[in-house]
Amino acid sequence: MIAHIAALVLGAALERAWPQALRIGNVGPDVVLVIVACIGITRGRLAGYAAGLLGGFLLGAAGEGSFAAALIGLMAVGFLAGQVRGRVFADHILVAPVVAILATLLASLIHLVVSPPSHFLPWLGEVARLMLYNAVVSPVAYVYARALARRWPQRAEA
Amino acid sequence: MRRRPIYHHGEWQTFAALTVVALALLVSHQRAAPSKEGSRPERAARAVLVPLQESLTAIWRQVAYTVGGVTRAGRLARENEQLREANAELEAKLIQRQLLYLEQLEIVKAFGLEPKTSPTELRARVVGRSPGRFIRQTIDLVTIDGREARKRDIVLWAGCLVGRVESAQGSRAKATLLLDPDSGAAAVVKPSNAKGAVMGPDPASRDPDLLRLVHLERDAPIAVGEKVYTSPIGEIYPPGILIGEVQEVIGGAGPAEPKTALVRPHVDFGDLNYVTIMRPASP
Repeated sequence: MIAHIAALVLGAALERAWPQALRIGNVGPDVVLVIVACIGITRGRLAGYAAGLLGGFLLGAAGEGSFAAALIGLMAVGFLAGQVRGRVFADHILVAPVVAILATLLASLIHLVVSPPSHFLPWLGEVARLMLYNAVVSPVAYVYARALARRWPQRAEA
Repeated sequence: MRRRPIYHHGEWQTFAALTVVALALLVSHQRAAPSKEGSRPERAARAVLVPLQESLTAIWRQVAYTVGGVTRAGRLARENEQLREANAELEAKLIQRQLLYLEQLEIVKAFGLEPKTSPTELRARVVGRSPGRFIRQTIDLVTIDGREARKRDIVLWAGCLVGRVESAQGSRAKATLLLDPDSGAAAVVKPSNAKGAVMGPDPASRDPDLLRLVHLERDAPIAVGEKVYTSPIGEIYPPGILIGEVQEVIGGAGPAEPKTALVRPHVDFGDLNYVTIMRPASP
């Protein structure tokens, strides 16, 4: 659990300190969202939900967008990613980019409802870029989360 | 055949407990919202995140310097030489200014007047930036010598306007950029003397760094290339700080069509490493 918390805290710091040279059109990846999704996939819905709570709180505290949207969005992502656990292909690394894309879409939809952007089409373009960017960085988070899950397997299935 | 239960024993209680925690965090956030400082848990989280961001930024900077240094060694050596010369010149000017200040202080005291406090200037490192265009445009700052930043301090880069501190905790601060959709500054265009307000960029614009100069008079004689400064009538920023240069003038053709100018800021917001935090002199 401590390793997951550390990953989320580091991810929140990294998301804000993401190097400018690696941003695409001033946009960096949603590191915390990807980590929450990967914790959900490898640990189940309860761990995903809790990770979403902590991740959303950290992002909200860092001052990125709407606090409510960050909290609700990441908790929903963690919970739904947790539903993937134990299913076919859940142990395959390619599940990470797929879940990252879907998670970005879900979190963006929640953002759209909770704090609608002023211009829809440019926002949609940014969401599309984010989906791809998150998919690219997700295998790293997945490998880390899977290594933790193998090192410290859960006692009871969630 | 028995169906597998949706929730395992005790699981729903944990879900409920987590939801209650989330609601409590939301309520405390809403309560602290007017101050922009954040609730107590948020301030604690920032106290953990900002030093981490500082370390990550330092690591990234070191990597960039090393990689850049290897590939551009010759040019960097020449630049370094030029910077040394410029530094020596600036140091000489600084000493001259300090002597003049002391002289002025003597004169003020001789006339029995109360001296004004000089503006405070702090150097700060940029350790974080909001990651997208559709959220608030802020940067995280840490002052270099550990001195305290304050809410409403002005943030500058090379004498040009960057934004304003919106919350501060000791040496750590969060500043809203001019690029923020909610930011605004009363502005004056020189030499035409046209007055207006500089607002954040249009989110639909292809160039996310172009500011908008609005509330211009329809017949304002504004031209491309003119400089935009903060205006003396503004209450947020001191007057005379350079914002940018007029790049394009739109509208103003008909009586119903408002005139707007697109302003290219002098600050490269994408490449901010160090800034100056200025607290205007008290009268």
